[in-house]
Amino acid sequence: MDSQRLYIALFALVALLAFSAVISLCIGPVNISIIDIIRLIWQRGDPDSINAVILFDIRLPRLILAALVGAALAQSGVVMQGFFQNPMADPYIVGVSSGAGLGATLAIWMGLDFWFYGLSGVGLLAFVGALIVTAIVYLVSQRGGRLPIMLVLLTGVAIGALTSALTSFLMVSAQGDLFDTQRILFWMMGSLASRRWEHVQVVWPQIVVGALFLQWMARDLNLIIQGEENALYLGVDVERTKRLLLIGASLLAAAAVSVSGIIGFVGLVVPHVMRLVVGPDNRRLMPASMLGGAILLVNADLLARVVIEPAELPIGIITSLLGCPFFLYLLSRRRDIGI
Amino acid sequence: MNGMRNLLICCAMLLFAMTTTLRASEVIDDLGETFDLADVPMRVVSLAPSNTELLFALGMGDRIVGITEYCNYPKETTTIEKVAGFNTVNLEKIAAVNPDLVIAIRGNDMESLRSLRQLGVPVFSLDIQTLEQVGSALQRLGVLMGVEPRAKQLADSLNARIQAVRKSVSKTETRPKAMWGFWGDPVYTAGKGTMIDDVIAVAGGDNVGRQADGAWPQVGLETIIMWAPEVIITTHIPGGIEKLPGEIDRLRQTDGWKQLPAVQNGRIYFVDGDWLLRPGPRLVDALEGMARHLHPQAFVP
Repeated sequence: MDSQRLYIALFALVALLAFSAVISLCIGPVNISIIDIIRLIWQRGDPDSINAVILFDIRLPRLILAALVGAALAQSGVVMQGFFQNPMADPYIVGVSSGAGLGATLAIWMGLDFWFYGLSGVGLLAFVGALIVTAIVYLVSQRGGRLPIMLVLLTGVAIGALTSALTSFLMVSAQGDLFDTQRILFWMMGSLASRRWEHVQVVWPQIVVGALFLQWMARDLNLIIQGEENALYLGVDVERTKRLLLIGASLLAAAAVSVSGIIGFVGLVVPHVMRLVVGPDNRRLMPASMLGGAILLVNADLLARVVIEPAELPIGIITSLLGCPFFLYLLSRRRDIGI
Repeated sequence: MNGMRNLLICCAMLLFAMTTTLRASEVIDDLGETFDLADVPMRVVSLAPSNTELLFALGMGDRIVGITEYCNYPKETTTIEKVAGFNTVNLEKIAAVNPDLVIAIRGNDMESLRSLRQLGVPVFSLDIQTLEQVGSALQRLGVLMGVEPRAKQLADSLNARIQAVRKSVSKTETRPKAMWGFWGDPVYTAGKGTMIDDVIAVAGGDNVGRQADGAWPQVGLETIIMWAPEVIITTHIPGGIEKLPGEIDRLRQTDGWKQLPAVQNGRIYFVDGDWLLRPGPRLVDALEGMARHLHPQAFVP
């Protein structure tokens, strides 16, 4: 794929994201016309008007958060699929989701009710849980300073299953409130409902730094995919690079999960879709996937807000409902996908 | 002339005294937050069916501008904007109805409540766990809404009815073993710390669910046989209350269940879940019904 086609693809994705964002700002339980939005932005209209409150205090932070989380999950997915050289890999493969799930369940179960820089106790414990479980997987699968990929994969699967079993045990044995069980289930399906500027503030530095760092590692990831030995000859510190990739991708996913709950599918499928569009070179795949993830989540969140209004749908349901048929369609036209 | 002036001063002082007593109307919600609203709220959002029923009981129905999808009583609720689902709160819809007070419960999504506070809307949270707390909640809502006398009157009358039930059942000798739940699989029952536990206790029953751990224990048939409840109270019968006799007949032929005294004696009763499970004014109706089911002889007219 030549550069010109790449730029066209990226430009199209940016345009699609911008279009989705505008639609997303207009549509909701309360519809705001594009003219009103322009007027509000231009003169900031009456900042106390209901439309201004809905637009700037409710919808805009949520939109930005959807884009950030979508980009983070897709970027993390690209790295995980490359790292494991496995099309089934996703951001959660080394235990981020199961660790976060256990952390969130513990927080709800213990009735933790505190806020940490805008993150709820649930979000904070989810983040910590994700990091702890990832660290355990990492430490358990290390062999004398080396990180054998298959071992990481299987250890991740095993410890993930163990952690999920603990979570289920807590949920069933927790003789707590029915409300609590509801909250846990809802959190496990992901949601951006009621997210605020606080959440954007707490998560954007992590996501931007993490995503840029992984982008910077893209060339090394390419070389490792072509063969670890080869990469070594080309001057790549393979083991160090692998460690950094795994840690970076896990941190990125953990940051996303801490504000949104567990949103499935984005990190698995967006990289595949984008690989069909821009090819397997990670230097190109990463920006395209981040844009694709952002587009998917922005649109999914729009649906989450309006489908069963006044209630909200968990966004994870929509990403799968929306993404699967599209992905199957793309697959049906291919003989093979390459990582 | 002087007398007139004195009278005016007196009136002014009286007025001042009245307003200060209203202004000094501090109320504490069940999260421990103190509220002292400068103005009487005129646009209120209720985030739970129980809150809606409490507000309507106070005659504040016309000040409610938003409710949940599950607020179905009284019938005036059909025309009020729905701004929340079961466990989700729709911030945009709430912002659109522009409330000056939101009345929440402990089960509401905490993220949403925090968002509402940050949008500058006071959020008063209730967490009513016992029968007696219904009156307290009513009185605090009354202060908040500026209808204190009416709230006190209503709370007093509810408390008097609760006392009347206590008095009637105190004369009886027995405390029948009662279980709340539905004969499904698994059986969820109400344990310690639930409102149902309190209602059964006040109605003169012995809630067998207390013997298990936790608020909503999930139990197997073996445990229920061991508990041997004499009365089963259910708030849910598939197909409605008219199916109850058929269900009792079926249980009489079901192994395990047919051993239970409650099944053998046909003492399985239906209490409307909207009454029993919502800590609103109708909870006292549920209590009176429960007491009649547990102690029919004490309530012979």
